[in-house]
Amino acid sequence: MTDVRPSDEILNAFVDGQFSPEDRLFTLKSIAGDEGLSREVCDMVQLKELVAMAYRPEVLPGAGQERPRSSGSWVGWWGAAAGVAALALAATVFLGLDRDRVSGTAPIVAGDALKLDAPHPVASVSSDHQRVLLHVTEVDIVSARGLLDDVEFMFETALLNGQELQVQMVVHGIAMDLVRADLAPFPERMRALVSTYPGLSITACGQSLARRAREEGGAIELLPWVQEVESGVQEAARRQAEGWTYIRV
Amino acid sequence: MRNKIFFAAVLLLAMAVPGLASAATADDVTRVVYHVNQGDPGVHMGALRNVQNHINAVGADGMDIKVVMHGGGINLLIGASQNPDLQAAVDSLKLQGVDFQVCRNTLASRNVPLEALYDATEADVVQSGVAQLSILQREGYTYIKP
Repeated sequence: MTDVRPSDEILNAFVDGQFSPEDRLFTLKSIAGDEGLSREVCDMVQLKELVAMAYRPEVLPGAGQERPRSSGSWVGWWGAAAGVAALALAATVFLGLDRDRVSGTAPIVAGDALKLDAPHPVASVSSDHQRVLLHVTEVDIVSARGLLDDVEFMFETALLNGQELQVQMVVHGIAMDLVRADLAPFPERMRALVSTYPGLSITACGQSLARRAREEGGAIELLPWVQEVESGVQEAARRQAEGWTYIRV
Repeated sequence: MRNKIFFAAVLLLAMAVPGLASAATADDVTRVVYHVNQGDPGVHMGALRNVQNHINAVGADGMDIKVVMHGGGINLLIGASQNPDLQAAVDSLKLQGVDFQVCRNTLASRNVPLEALYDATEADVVQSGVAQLSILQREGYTYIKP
């Protein structure tokens, strides 16, 4: 097992898609044969996607104008005076870009640029609308109970403050048991949460699911209130690109 | 004349808006939240080293760092009350302005009294660790999970 483990260099080349189809297939086979290795490669792919996102050309100063959606909630209340505000914001974008150019292009700054470059100040996502992606990968049963408490707390707080809240849980890796119809430790609690809070969705990574099914030699059923998404990491990356807050638990 | 007033208003707004923006995200300060929810002491020491390296790279003056602990992560401060290395690392980071925040839900569900955590007071407790992570990110903190 360990004697055929590909080197980190090979794995990185694999993740970066630098192989010919034959080499790729060969590496893919050795990865698929080893669960730990598959997980490692999954993490590498995720890391690559997150890094790529931090450096996406459209979040760097200068190209931000094309972003379709505003995350700049601080401009929300200018919306009413649309004409004036639009002009003011054009100026903001200009000044904001300038300042970002001075302060460099580290990912942290790129995040700020995203906020400042908001082209449509009439916020499609206002400060009253929060969207949180919970990437659930390493959760045992004790912490899962705590996690559901946290989710409930967030919804209760949002309700109290009159805020709209969307939470999507993306479950994969070893946390998968939480959403399996045959193994879920507290399916009723999940059902109750999903039916009480329409803003909550629980999704499971289709790839983790398929791998488990292969290993166990039979189809795996999810809880009825859990949806399958094609890939957990892809979902996590996509939601972040859409401006969701990301928390990995 | 009306045009002039209009342009003056536009100019004023243009100046005011970036001011607002920096009030919300203050460019000269790097805000970072480190998320610790694992119980493994190796992860804890590693996380504290990450924070120190981050400060070394950027400088303590321009940084606002919070470490949010929940779930197994509160073992970091429980461990620090016994382990002198961990304790020294926590002390040193606090001196550099790092905040350590713990989740009340976790303390309650695990029956851990606040006194069991190293150098923690009521001011360091937040109701929900996960909610706090969301709030801080919305306030402009960059999220890092060591």
